[in-house]
Amino acid sequence: MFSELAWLVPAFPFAAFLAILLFRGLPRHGAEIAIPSVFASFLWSLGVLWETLGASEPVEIGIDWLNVAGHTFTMGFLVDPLSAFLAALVSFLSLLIVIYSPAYLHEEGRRLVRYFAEITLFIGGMLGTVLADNYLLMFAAWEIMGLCSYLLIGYWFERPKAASAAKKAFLVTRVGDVSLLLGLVILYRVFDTFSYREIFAQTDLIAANPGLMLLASVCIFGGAVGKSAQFPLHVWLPDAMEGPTTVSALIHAATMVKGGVFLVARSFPLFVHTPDVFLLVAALGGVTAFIAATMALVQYDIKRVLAYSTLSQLGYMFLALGAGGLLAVHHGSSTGYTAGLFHLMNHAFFKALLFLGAGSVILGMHHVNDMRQMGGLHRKMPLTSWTVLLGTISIAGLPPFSGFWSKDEVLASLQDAGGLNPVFTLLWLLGLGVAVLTAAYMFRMWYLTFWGKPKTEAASHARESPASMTVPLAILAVFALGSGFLLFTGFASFLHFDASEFVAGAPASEAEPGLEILKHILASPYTFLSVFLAAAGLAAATSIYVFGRPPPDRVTTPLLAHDAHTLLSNLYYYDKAFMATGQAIGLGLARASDALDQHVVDGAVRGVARTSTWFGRAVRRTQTGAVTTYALVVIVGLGLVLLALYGGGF
Amino acid sequence: MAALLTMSLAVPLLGAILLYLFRVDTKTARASAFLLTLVPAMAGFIVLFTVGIGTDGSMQWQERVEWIPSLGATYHVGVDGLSAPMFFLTAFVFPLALLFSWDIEHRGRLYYALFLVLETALLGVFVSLDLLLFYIFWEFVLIPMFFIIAIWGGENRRYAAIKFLLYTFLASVVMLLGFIALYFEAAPHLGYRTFDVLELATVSGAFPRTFHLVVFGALFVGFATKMPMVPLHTWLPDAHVQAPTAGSVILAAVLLKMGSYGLLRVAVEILPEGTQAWRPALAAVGLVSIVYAAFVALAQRDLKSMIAYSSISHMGLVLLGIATLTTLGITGAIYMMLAHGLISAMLFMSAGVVQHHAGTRLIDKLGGLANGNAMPIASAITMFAFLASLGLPGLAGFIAEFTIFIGTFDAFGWWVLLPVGTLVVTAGYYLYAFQRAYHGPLNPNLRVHGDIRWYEFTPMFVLAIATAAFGLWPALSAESMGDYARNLLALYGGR
Repeated sequence: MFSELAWLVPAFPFAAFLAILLFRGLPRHGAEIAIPSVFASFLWSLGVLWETLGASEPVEIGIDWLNVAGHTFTMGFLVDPLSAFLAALVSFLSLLIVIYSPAYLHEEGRRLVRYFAEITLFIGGMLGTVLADNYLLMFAAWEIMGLCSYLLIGYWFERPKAASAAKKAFLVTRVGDVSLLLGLVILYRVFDTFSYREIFAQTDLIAANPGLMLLASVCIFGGAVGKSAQFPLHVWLPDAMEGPTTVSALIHAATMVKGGVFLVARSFPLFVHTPDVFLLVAALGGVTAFIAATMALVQYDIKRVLAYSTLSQLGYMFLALGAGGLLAVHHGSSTGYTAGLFHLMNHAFFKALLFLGAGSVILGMHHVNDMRQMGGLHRKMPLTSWTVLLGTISIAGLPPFSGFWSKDEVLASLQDAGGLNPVFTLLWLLGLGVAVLTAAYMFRMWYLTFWGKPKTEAASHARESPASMTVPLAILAVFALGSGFLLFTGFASFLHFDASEFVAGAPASEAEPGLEILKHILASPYTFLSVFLAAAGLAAATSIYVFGRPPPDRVTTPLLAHDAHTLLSNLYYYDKAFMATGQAIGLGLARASDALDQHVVDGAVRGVARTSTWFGRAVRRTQTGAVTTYALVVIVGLGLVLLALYGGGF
Repeated sequence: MAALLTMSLAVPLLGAILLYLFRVDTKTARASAFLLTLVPAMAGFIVLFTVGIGTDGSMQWQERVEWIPSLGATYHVGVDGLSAPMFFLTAFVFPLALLFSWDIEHRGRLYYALFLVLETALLGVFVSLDLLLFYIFWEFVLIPMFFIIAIWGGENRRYAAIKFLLYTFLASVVMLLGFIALYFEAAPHLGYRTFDVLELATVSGAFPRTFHLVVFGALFVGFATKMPMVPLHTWLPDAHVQAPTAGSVILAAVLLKMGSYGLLRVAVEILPEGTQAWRPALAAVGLVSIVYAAFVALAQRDLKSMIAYSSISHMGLVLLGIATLTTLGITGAIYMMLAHGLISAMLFMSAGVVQHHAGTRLIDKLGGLANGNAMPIASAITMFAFLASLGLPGLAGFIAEFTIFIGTFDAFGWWVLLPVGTLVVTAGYYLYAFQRAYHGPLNPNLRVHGDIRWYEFTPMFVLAIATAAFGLWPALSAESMGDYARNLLALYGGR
């Protein structure tokens, strides 16, 4: 019953969007519509998830949307484990974020109407992306998400930085979207349909077009790179911090950037035919995971630390999916695929927790983001501090928190894939390095913010946030601790990918029972290696930021370290170079074309006109201003034309 | 009801004559002109939604009377999947443009009368099936438009009006030569003389190849100037910048479509061999227009000229879609004509609102218009128009774009990279302009006189609803366009 009406899941927030715009004078500025609508989505998606847990076949229901001269475009939704899982996750996190929002943004007053309208549209867009049954509808919802991120990052559009960040986010993700659209065009050329299931089922067509399929896969992945802010298109996400913190939480935890991971997971049945694309997925993921983690080490803006950590963690997900593709094709193992989605879920919980916690801190500090002005907030905001600490432990990957289990699975799948392609061994080593860095930068953030003595007046007067903000934090903390245990209750068999269903000759894959997975993890020496590495990161951060050995400013003074610090603080100069290049090419071509247009193209026209000044004079003479004269001229002209015809014909 | 089309043509023209004869005051003229345009508007809805029902894409609502028997000229009108959306667009946009010009006081009676004449002429272009009739309507469009620019335009209106008139007139003379050539060439094959488009098409297979090539070239010059395509486009930015807002609206929404409509109706339908031969050139001109105009738009300082160049870029997509000679490409081209009509009308209205209330359209002199104390509502609806134009899914422009892209990839392979890549440039010029003119703190040197007025908001809102409706529910009109495209391509051996 729920699955057959799964379109209601995105429909609730879409309807709320319209309702909020329609009833603008509400006392709570639309929160009274937004919260129930997302709650309804959540309940419905839980129902869908429940039904899907027991279902053996996906539910797909659609309509013919457009028939053009033999081309039929359908629109519908597809309920399978992947979409049911993500719909429930997205709506749950979105619900907590919209509940949290009114208190966080209480100073905004009537402007909140716009906020709630845009945020419900955003949530609807993400739910639509997840539940669509074809690439075209997915793309439409995907673009709506892109639009909403533009609007929400630019929520305080009167601030030039916010306006600029919004534009940057839209344009950079648009580059990815163009790639995705190109992928869709290729798919349609080959399959005459956008439907996932129809495309994935036509293995003979796929086999007949290996070149186009590889291009299509790369192009689709390009869309994911843009949306999930992976290298080389990662530059928009840290700037997106200019929006309200709740928006950051939504973008980083529940929607938007997870869209890219979803897209790759959704396209797995296509990608497995051209396994090379998985190498690209993993390589870009690995690069992003590493460079973002290094950049997070030196940030002082609490939201920026979290932003870079999101990039880095998304890199982990792509690493896992990249390894997963290879493992699925060659080993009949779904560990990488499952690990990617498992990390997506755990990251969603702890990142939402961390961002909402950061929001609570920022509110307590009266809109200060700089951690150098914080310190000692553990006493002032105990609930925020404890919950953020739980999130920090989780993301750092210390057992038994959720981040530990999924990071371990990610690394294990990379190591497995290393047996198939040595590049993955390198990526595994990179992943291990990221594990150290993650623990280090996250505990650095926690210590700078909550530990020690208040460094400013604002910090010593900070107060704990209201319950509507701390309760969501507490709920999320429970998940940040516990969601990892889902791995042992059948997560792996629910979100399981079997390449043999799509590729002839690929080995079939059986899901490992949960307890077997646990046994493997506990028996593997590499598990202890990754715990040890995380602990090393924790120890380094503790030593520097708690005991001052060495003191934080000394870490950056030795010559080489200083240069490294400058390099990292400037984000490897990549961001500046990226934007400068884009601007130089775009505006340069624009100015050149404009000059060409004015001086050459129109210049020629004016030149012709000037040489025939007699014509101009004649025109001036006839400009008597009387309509009748002109009408007469035209009628006479027509008469002449007719005469010419008569003359020629008779 | 049989004479639905003739009635739609007659009502505005009669209204204009009555306005001219009876010296009513401006208010009466305005109200009666608005009410009169509602008649064709209703006909437009009827035509659009019935044209595809239960037919195989043949001409509907046909009327045919002898007109100049000695010449073989007839008054022959009708609509199909190509002309119905254009007829609808014209009839739909006119009342909105008149509503938007509710504050015209200077020579008001003449203004409204000219718009009524213009509407008849434009509707006439889109329903004529006789080349002579078509040509008369085509040229007749120039006269009211010339005066609208020359009397109610901006500072440099004289120059722009004359440039518009001469430039497009010269181009249509070339086109007329093509018409005459068709007329004489077809006569021996048919055994009688006729200007009838449908009949000319039946014998064109017997024309020599050189004839196909030359005549198609002449027609293409005429139509491409009207669309306008690079490099025959420079009349457009001048005309737009100088024209009053409602004039720009009609110019962009309807006048440009005459070119692409004519290209399909006359050149592509009658001269398949010429079309095939010229096809690479059509595609090249379309591609150049798409990319080049987008970059020029990025460099503009005036909102209106930015939108004007954006029009050229979008019309380039229309030409590219036609050049694909695939059903989806041609359907997309016609859909783009409809979508661009609705969207560009909104865009020019946005620029008009800024001009009226902030006194300038220069992006550098604006800034922060979206702030609560400036024009938040106008900014919101402008944002909508910008998004529609940059191809946001869910709105009409996207349907056109993705079908054209599919057609282009089918027909021209990787050339599709150019129009698809241009989407980034398009988003760039819109968002860059929005950032500078609407976002940021309110420019202290700017005096903003209130937000959008009701007579400005209402037409924009109606257009926005239509843009969303055609974006979410393309089946409303795309299916009859598809039938048209399929029938057309049957002449080309059916692709």
